[in-house]
Amino acid sequence: MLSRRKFLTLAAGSIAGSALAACVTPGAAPGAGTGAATDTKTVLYWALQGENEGENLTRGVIKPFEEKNPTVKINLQEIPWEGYYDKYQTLSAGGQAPDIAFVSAAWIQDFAKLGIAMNLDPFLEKTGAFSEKDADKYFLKTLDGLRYPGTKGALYAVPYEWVTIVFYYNTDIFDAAGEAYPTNDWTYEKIAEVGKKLTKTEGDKITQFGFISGWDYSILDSSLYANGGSILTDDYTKAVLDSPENEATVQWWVDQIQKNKIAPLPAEFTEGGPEALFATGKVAMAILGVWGIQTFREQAKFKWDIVMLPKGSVTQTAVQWPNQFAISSKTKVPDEAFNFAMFAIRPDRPADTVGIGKVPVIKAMANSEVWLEADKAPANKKAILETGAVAVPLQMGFRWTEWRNAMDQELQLSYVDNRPVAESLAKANAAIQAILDRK
Amino acid sequence: MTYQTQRKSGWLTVTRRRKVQEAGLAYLFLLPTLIGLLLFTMGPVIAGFLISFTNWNIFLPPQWVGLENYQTLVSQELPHKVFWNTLYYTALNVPLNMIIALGTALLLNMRLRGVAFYRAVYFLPVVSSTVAASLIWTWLYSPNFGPINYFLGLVGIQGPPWLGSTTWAMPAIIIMSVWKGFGTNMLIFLAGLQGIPQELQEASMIDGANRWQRFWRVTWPLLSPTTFFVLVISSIASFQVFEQVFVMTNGGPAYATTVLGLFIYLNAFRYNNMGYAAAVAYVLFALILAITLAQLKLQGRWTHYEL
Repeated sequence: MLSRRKFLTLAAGSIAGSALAACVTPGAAPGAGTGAATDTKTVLYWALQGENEGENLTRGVIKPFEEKNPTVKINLQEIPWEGYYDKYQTLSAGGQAPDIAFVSAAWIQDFAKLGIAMNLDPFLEKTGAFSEKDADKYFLKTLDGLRYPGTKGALYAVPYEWVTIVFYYNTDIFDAAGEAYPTNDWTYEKIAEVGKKLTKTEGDKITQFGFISGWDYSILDSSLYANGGSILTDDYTKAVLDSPENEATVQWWVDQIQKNKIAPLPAEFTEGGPEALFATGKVAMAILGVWGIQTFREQAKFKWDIVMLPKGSVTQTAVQWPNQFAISSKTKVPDEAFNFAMFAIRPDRPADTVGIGKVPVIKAMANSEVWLEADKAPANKKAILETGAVAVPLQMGFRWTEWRNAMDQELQLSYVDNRPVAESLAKANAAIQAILDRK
Repeated sequence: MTYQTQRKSGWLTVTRRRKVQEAGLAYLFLLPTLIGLLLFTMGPVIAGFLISFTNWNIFLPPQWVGLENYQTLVSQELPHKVFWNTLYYTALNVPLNMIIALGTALLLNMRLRGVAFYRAVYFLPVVSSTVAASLIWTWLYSPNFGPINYFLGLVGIQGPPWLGSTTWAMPAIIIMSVWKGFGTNMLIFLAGLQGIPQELQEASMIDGANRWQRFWRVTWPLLSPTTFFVLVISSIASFQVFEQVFVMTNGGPAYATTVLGLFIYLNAFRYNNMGYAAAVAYVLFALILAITLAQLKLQGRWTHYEL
């Protein structure tokens, strides 16, 4: 028979469960005494952004881990991307943070500074993980996007895959115009030049665009670094957006809309963003994230391929950032959590546990036939790996979501209302600095 | 003590007891709602007020900062812009919505064939999901490929870039909001119109009043309580506009459509500035309260309950 107290705990648990709808209450569950298994095993709560990858992950990651570590039980909770942040925030605030959870690279600085994520440096020292001798095993550069403070501090998350930006082109449009396909040797000037030839107008309406311009970090930022500019200093404490290099770069993007007229106003991006626009087949070239691959495989009714981003005035590069697991600073099982994170990125992890276009952090997997998918578009998928070799971390400093929006809103006046770029950059710079400096 | 008074007081006591019993029963039935209201509405309302005096990022315990959030709100440029954006939206949305709603209600109040069908048609936007409607309107507004600019082009007008322009983004949002929202007000006006006694219309007709005079001297004054109700409700709803802005522009371009509702949401749930967001929310509350009180005060001057 249930004791009165146990009954109350159970009742409270079930009421809380129904009241919070789909909300998980990991901390409460073991206390509710759900069975003998949990009494002898260490339970590790794992929250992941996603909807129906649970089966793959259970087969490819959870089951093998539990077989190897019979004392640990993994409790996976899949949460759709919309609402993931809200749920993670609520769980953390309520002291119920999952032991190990997917976190966006955009939150790392905040989570590290606020003490939400655990500093992983002690584990690295203890286990030797991600040391220089692992350089052949992992894309170690991806770690730089997960450090605090700046790109040289301590590590706060374990990456499992990374994304970057590539140069997409519509092969059919190039064929129709008899233009040579883009290569890894292109420059930004070449885009402006070829884009002009591939832009078609009917009366005063543009019916085919040569290129896509914008202020979004996935479109703009790579070129800032390629031209020798930056948004923040390396330690992420000072904004350095209002430099002459950045002015020239942003001016180039504005010109493609206003002067060269080969790119639409970003108001043409409907709910699907620039990816949906390129997928309509009305655009010849675009600088977009690798996640576009999935969209174009599903939607594009034309042939397309990718190359590396063009060369800037200083170097050829693209921004890169990883997806990762952070361990809660409040966890009672830090060692198990770290072991599990490292197990999840073990070299023999099944390839179907990696998203389309995203690159596994394990080099051998990324270079495998399975990942390169010779039989599917884009034919030149290795351009992603070539980009990875020269990529720089996307600067996502403290309060990134807030200052990035402030920066975008200021830049927009130059893109849509002809405000001088220097003025927009100066205003954006001041706004970023104010947000970074606020208590 | 006479028999009369004795009887009377006895009767009184019984009623009072029964009244107390009935009231108790009523309160008992009200209890679930009352508890819900106190717990889930009044609780957060009070908590929000206290939070507005703190610096709280949700993850760590809040810190008391006194009036700092309110000072930031007054001293910074952006909250002022957001405040004016909200007023701009309300100042255009409310009258436009009411004029179209009243016009449609007057038309639909006539005894025409298929009037029920048209009532349903005009009410349809109200029952459709705001998010879905916003997505469709985003596409309608598309400068190069959208149908709105296509049709404007047919009549020789070069359409603006709508959501991509700092000048046109807010009018675009207002047009969409009027389309989305006038159905509710139309229905309320329709109910108001049907509550006006037919005899008054007939009497004025016999007195020789023309169509306009009948509207202006009979319908409009008798409709004024409805108009007042619609005005108050629409103003409050306008100050709280959120979904269409969130979906269609996310406050851009260059803050042109950042309204108070969106500003509060972004600060609270995206930027982790809970205290600041609570302060802005309380300013919004004060604003709505002030405007509603002003409307209530002015009501006596133009609202007629009978002729």
